[in-house]
Amino acid sequence: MRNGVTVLESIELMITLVRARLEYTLEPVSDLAENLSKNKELKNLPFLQECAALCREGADFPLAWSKSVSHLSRLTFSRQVSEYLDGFGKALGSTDVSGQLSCCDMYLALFSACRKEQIKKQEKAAKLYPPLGFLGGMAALIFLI
Amino acid sequence: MKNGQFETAAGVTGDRIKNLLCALPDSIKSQIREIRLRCNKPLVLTCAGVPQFLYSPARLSPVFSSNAVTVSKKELDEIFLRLCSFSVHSHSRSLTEGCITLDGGHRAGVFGTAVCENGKIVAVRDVACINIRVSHEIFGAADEIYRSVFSNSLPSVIVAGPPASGKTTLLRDLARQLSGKSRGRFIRTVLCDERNELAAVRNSVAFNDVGENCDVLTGYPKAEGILLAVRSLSPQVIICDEVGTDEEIAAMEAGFNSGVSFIVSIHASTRRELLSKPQMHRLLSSGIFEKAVLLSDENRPCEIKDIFEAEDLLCEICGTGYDSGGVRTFGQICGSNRAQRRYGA
Repeated sequence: MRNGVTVLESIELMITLVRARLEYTLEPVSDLAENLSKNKELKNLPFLQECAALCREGADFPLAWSKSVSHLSRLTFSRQVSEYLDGFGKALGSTDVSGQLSCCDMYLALFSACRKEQIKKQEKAAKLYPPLGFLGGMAALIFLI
Repeated sequence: MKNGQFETAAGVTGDRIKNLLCALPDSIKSQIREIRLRCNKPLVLTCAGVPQFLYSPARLSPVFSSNAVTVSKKELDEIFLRLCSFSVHSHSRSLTEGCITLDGGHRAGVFGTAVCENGKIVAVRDVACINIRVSHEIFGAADEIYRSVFSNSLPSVIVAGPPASGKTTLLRDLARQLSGKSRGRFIRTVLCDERNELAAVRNSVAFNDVGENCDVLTGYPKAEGILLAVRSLSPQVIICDEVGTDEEIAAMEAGFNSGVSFIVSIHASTRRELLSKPQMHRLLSSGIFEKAVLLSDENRPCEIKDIFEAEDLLCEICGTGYDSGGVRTFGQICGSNRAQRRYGA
């Protein structure tokens, strides 16, 4: 569960980086993928490397992104997160700069909400586990007696 | 034409159309100048100056029938995104100017519904037609002009011609011949390649051969590029495609005063059209240019139709031709720097 929050934080960082690069360098998306894949801060998002590799082989960016997200989503992300990621990839590069920046802001808000929800779940679980453990222990004790 | 050059241009059309185009015989592919794609309409290729329709299995015909290959809206949208390398934001400026340059120096005209703000196009939506102009790098295209004009000197020259007459191809080959090993002159050349169609630079590497001693300024607005080049690269000659604004002419004047020669191109089909163009008047009046070269037409790309002395053209424009009894102080009348210098006017 902690891993889920870390991944979501990395995704938010990735979108912030994308936003900055789109705003200041107007980089094409394939170059963007290449640069993101080399970023050490984003090493826990392995789909970026796969996407960059597919782009290098000449695949169309939306296809490369979709493919790499779907390959890894079952292992790393929840269904909702992978849907958001897929949508973000499809929107990337499809409009002018202001459209791209708005899109980044929207997905940042969505992923941020996901992360907060994940943290809430963690906290809830943290409160739930000690009483559960205590009850379990008591049950085991009664059973042994 | 370079191997694979047509395939690079066809590559953006998507698998279905690309496979048909690439299956055409090489002899036909080398003659294709344009690929015209329109929403829900048949694909038209301009082959040897004639519009031809594409049929499956791969064949061309100038006769239209209902089974000609058509382009769907979805395909056109995909082609548009592919032209932008799926990065519309990187091509906003090119789109408002109506032309995107592809890898390999091919140019795609993209048109749809314009979004305007204060009378200026700020975006294009609902793309309805795309015209891909296939770039042709022809080694030796500038042999004739080199022999006639540049063999012993380095004058400033205007290259004029109708659309698809090979102006860009000729400028590219001229850059290669002036700055490259083929002639051994290694003239310091700067290519002001605002739309990246001359050198076709990708990841800092020029796809087209523009010579060993040539610096390429990609994406710089021509006026700024010229001034920067004059300031920092000390060129002997600057080559630009399609010039004519006041800023560009002012920049060229600054360069000319620093001893730089210019080779530029301009659209004009005939001598009459050449003379009637206001930007031609401005270019000639600047006094920078010594000669104007008029190219033939799209059926004979890069072939020289005529070479004119700039001063003769200027006299004709000003109505002070040598034969008409006009006084040879046209420098004063037309404000020609070169004429003023020559005649002390």
